[in-house]
Amino acid sequence: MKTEDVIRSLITDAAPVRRLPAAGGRGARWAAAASALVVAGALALGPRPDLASKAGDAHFLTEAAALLLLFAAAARGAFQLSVPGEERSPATIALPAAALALWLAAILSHAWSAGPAAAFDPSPGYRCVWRVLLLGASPAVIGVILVRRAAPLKRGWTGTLLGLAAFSAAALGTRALCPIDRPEHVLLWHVVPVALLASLGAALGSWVFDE
Amino acid sequence: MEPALERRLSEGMRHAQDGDRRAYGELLRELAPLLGGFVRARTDRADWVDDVVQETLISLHKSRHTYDPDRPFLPWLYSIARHRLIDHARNQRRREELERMSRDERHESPVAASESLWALESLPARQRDIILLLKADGYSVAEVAERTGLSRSLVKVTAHRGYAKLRAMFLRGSHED
Repeated sequence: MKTEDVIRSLITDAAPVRRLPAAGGRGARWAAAASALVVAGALALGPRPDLASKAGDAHFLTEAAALLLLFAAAARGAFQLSVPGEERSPATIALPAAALALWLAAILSHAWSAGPAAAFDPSPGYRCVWRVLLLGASPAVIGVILVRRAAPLKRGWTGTLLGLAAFSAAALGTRALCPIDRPEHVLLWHVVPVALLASLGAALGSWVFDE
Repeated sequence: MEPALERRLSEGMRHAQDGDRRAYGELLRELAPLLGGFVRARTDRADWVDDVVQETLISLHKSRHTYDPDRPFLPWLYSIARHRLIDHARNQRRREELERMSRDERHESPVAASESLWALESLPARQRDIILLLKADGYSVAEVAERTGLSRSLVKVTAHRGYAKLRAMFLRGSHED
């Protein structure tokens, strides 16, 4: 088929379109909705009884701050990647990667200062996995709907960042629910689920965001 | 990047977003040779140029609502073109690998019952799905358009491109026989 034939076909199909609002605004609106959903979910599930006392816990606050940074950077990245041309900035992926590294560093520094666990509790934290999944599911689905309205070109990366954003918010909500602060528990039952769900986002992104 | 060219293309895209078909046609006709040059500068496969240009124009059409008239037009356009070229190269490599495997199978077994199947499998997913809906399931163009969410003209364009690729594959296969 000649290019001129394609052009003629596209011209006949050229109805007016509603311009997509800027990626920054869309990302901010999604982040606000995601935050509200996670807070509502955490309140419904019942916060940990000692949450108020955690306001003075430096390790807890550092971890929370790193998670907030990861949430914000990944959300920004996902919505920027959804618009052609925006994906060329290296900061789009570098910032969430740095925030993820910060989260891990916060947990590992807590592990370093805590020293060898006096009594390592190997009991599974499946409840935390469910919390992360439950709190992050709705923000993830809403994010997919919003991003599909755009035109993501790096589909796998967009899925990864959206997954990281939704489930890091869920991990923050889970910290408000889970009374176990031991670093090995947080690594295994909070960090690993977030990483796995972000990887699932990468796999699904190539399919879900296909033209 | 010529500022006058950038301004003209950005203005043309803005009018196209507002539904001005004349402006849209002028824009697409000006973009086609620009995209051709972009693709030629990035691959030595001259046989890919027309396909990638057409795929880019179709992608531009589907994502025209994402262009912000306050931002430069050419980075937006070339980003789409770059990814279409990458996708095309990936699909071509897969297709060539399938063709190679199929040629080996045919040498081992003269019965080529699965020729149509491998040819269809090597098409891009959208072309394959539309051809199957039209030919195997017997849906009309209008019904396929409704099922896929594409316009009727895009269904026809996509099917036509799929048929052309199948024709080329079978012709290559019969020459080698």
